[in-house]
Amino acid sequence: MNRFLEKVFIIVYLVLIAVGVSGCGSNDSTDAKSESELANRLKLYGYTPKLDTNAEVSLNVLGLFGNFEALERVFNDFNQYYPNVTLTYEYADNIMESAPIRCAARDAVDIVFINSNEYEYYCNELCEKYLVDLKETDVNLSVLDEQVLRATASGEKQYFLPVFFQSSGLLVNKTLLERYGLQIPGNRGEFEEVCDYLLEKGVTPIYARDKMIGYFFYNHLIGQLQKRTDKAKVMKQLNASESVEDVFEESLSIYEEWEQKGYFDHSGNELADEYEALILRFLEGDIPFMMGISDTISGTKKREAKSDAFSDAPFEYTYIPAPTSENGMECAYVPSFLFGLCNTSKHLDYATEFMRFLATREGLTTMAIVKGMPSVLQDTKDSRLTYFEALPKEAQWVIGAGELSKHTANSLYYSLLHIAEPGMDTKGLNTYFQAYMKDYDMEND
Amino acid sequence: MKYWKIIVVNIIIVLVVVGSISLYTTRQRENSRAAALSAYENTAASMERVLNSYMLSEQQLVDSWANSVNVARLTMETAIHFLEGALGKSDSPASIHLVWSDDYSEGLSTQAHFDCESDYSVSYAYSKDFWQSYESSPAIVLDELDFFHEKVHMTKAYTNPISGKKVVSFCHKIYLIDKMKKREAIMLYVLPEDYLKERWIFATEYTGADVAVIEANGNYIIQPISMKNTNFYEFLFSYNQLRPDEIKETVFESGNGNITALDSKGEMNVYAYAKERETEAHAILVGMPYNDLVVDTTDWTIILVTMVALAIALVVNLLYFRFASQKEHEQIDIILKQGARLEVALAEAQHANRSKTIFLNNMSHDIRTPMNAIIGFTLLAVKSIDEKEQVMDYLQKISTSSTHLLSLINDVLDMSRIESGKMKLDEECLRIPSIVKDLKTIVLNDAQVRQLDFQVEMNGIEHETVYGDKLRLNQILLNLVSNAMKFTKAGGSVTVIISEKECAKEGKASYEFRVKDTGIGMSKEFSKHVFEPFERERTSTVSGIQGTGLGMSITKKIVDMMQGSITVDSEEGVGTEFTVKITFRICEASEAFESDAQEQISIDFEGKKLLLVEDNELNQEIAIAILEDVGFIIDVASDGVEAVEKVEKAEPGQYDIILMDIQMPIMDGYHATEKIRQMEDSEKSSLPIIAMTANAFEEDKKKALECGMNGHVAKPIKIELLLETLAKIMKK
Repeated sequence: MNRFLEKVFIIVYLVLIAVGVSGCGSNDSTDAKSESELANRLKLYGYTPKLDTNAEVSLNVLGLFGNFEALERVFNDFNQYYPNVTLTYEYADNIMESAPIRCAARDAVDIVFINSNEYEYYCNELCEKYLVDLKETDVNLSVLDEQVLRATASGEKQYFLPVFFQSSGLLVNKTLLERYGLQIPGNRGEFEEVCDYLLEKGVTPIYARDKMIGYFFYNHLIGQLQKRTDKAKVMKQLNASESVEDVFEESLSIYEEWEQKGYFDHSGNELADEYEALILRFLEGDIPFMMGISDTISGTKKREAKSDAFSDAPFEYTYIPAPTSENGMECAYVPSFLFGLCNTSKHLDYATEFMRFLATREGLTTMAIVKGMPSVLQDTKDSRLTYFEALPKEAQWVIGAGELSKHTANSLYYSLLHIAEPGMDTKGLNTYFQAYMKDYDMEND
Repeated sequence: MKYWKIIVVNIIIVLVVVGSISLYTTRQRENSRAAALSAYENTAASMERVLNSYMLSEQQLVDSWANSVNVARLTMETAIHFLEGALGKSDSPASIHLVWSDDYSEGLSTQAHFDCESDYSVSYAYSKDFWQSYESSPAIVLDELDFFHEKVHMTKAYTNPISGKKVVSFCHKIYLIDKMKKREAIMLYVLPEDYLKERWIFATEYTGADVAVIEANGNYIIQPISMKNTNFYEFLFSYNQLRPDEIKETVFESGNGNITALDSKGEMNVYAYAKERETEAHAILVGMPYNDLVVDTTDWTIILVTMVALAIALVVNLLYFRFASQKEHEQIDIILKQGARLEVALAEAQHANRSKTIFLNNMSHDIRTPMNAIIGFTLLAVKSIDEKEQVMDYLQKISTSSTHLLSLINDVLDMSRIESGKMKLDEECLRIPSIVKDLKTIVLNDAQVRQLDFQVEMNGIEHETVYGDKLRLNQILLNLVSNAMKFTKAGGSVTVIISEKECAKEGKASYEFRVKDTGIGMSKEFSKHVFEPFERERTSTVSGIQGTGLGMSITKKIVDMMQGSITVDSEEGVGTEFTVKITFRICEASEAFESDAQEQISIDFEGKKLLLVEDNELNQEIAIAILEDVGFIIDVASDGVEAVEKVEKAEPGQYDIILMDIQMPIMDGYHATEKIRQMEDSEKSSLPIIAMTANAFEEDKKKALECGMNGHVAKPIKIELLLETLAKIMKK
């Protein structure tokens, strides 16, 4: 037999044997590929462990999300450096009540994860008694924008590491609009044209729960406030709990006009909840615009599989900032999801180490992408948030970072949540504002 | 092509073997997996039954405490003291809460508040109003309890307002006295989740297993670390896109089974489930990594053995191929060698054929030429019969042509006999000087005619008599000399130098015969082929020199037969020298002399009576003429039968000798001789018989002697030889 045939025979023979053996074993190539991807991802963290990487430690995170896949993902990456550190995520049904309790308990939690709204109202006890000032740790806060840090600081102290921005906007059924020959509107005029057209076609354009309407117009209220020539004076007045009724005027006027035109479908108020039920309703495919917050929007992708209607007739959708300005879209961001270190932690060193890992550009980006929410880094490229990323600087504001105090901003927000109540006027909204401002003062007394 | 077939067969065998192993191991794995999962599910079912019993027992405990409290009509304070005593150990992780059921805002606990040792108050109302979305707030937990239909009133997991830890409570409605009035309250037997986990995780072989208890809606009652989310269905949905409603359907309709799904780390887990059978309110889940549960039971020994067998098969196949390849190479080598030999043989055959063609062409010419001379001069002699001198000249030319023609025929026949191996050497004691003498006798006259200087020199001959074939030795020398003379022009010289060389072999003597001429010589190229048959550098037509082209070849063959050597050294235009070296066995001088002496016999044939047995009339006529010329009285018989009859009938002394032809009709010469030898009359049976035949070869001669003849004379008849033979025989 000549040499060529012999070589061919040997190769074929060995390949067959190898295939036979590999067929009986595991798929090593897949493992190798995923290991390679993991190695590349870990490089992006630029992280170097400072502690004993073999230590067996359990870290308990108390948080407000029922499920926190994003945290699990980052922690899995953290486990590549500390394989024996385990994460226990404990969902708190009432985070602000339970957080101080869990921090004080004998088996104290190590990290708490709260919402900034709650922080404003209930956090003082938690922060001062149980949380560590991150400025005094190795956690690198310089990765965050100055405005973001200012918006989440407590005086000179930085108890929290913010990870996401909360925002309000519109979930848009692009496929449905295209069916009517419409495009995504870029400003209020265009939006009203689209809505008018849809109305003509017998389609109610906006699906919203009442609370969401208030949050939606909060973007415009903040935008209007920033554009006022007497901005400094008005903000000062608001911070002092003085009545400035015309602050609500334009937002209320627009809402009333839209309401009058019949833009709103209020049946969302009947839904069981403002999260999954709302998402599943939108995924039925007959709603052109749905008002929602970024936390809600982040759950749409995952729930596509839960929707029979969407599975039967999938469509393209996107999330856009509120097109409430004549000049375009606008957005008031709230750095609302915050991680704090418990000073009662039995493994404070490892809890700090994880916070240090999380406070990297890759850590925060991974969290944002997995969760599907805008990152506090603001430069995260997420296809679901392209309209937000395209917003000009002058059309976006970080709540709590400016002259308006966080409490004032939150009081305006909560008062605006009542905008859709029947017969609501600027006076009524101002009354709510006064009440929220006062409630806060009373809490602090 | 056959190797490809073998390879295909091998590959098919390997495929079948690998496929079979794969099927076998897959089936084994499936069986093993099914058995492991079945056992795992059974464990979950067993745990569910134990859990159910446990829950019932805890509920019964609470029920009994509630009955006691109800019967005793206690205030909340006294009731809590009573229950504190009922709990027993002060360091028990369990505690009891009593809360008024109207808004759950007030109550007492057997355990102090986590940050105030004197504070035993408890409230379950704190989260009900504000965050209604938190479905597991304690107040809502209590609202959801169905005290009328369920046997076990167990809450889902919630945060204990006292300790801040996750707890589960078994509840019962009780009635207490408040401000002298009967007031409804809820008694909660509060058990920390950790405590329950410790109680409910049973010692099983599944050391890595996590146990969860879920409500029908998927919310955890007991939640292990590995199962994420607040809802088991949502947990699976998050990482597997398994729809919660479908998981619920699976768990609560089938009752007992397993779900294989990815966990938050992307690892495959198996979750065995068993629902509580009576109320279907909850189910137990046991989760563990798939790879820990379904151990790979692949029989690596079989795989290893098979792979080794395949490897051996590979080696064997390769060896076979190598062997086959080697054999093939050998066969190819043989074929190539055979081919080469065939090519050589073909070349030789072609060469021989070409040579023979040339030879035939030459022979055609060389035979026709003397024949033409014989026939032509015979005709001329007839025409000039009256002119004696002219006739004599013609007859001389006829004789010369006949002699040449005869030598041609003899050469051809000699070559044929040598080639066929029929020529045999007939050794006898011979004298070298006698050989020289004979040579001179034969050649000298011709040399003179050709105007050549012919010299024979003998140098250092110590042993003059040796055993050898005189005839063939003569033939060698004669051929060489004749050849030299043929190619040497008039005025040239031909020299024969015979010298004895040193011989290391005892009883033997070595001789060197050099025949040197000053002739035309040969080219170097032709010198290499001069001893090959049918080779002549120039045809006789070109050279004008007649020859068969066999002379040198015959010479070489005879020298070879004598185990001698012959070489040639020639230069064109200068001359040629043949050197023959032959070693002879030394012969005693007396024998040689005797032999030599015999040659001196002469006899008078006058009046001698000879019976000539010859069927050919021309031959009869020639023989009669020759024999009568020397005095014989001739009687003729035309065949063997006639000869035998004549001898039988002959008078005593009627015949002195018989000349017997061999090939004759009716009875040949051999047969006739035998008949004569068998005759009773000894005089007749001993009559000398000499074969006179055209069967001129040595074997013919031997055969003639064997059948009783006394001598042999070849045709055409040489008168001198015939008479010499007759004299020799008749003398005896």
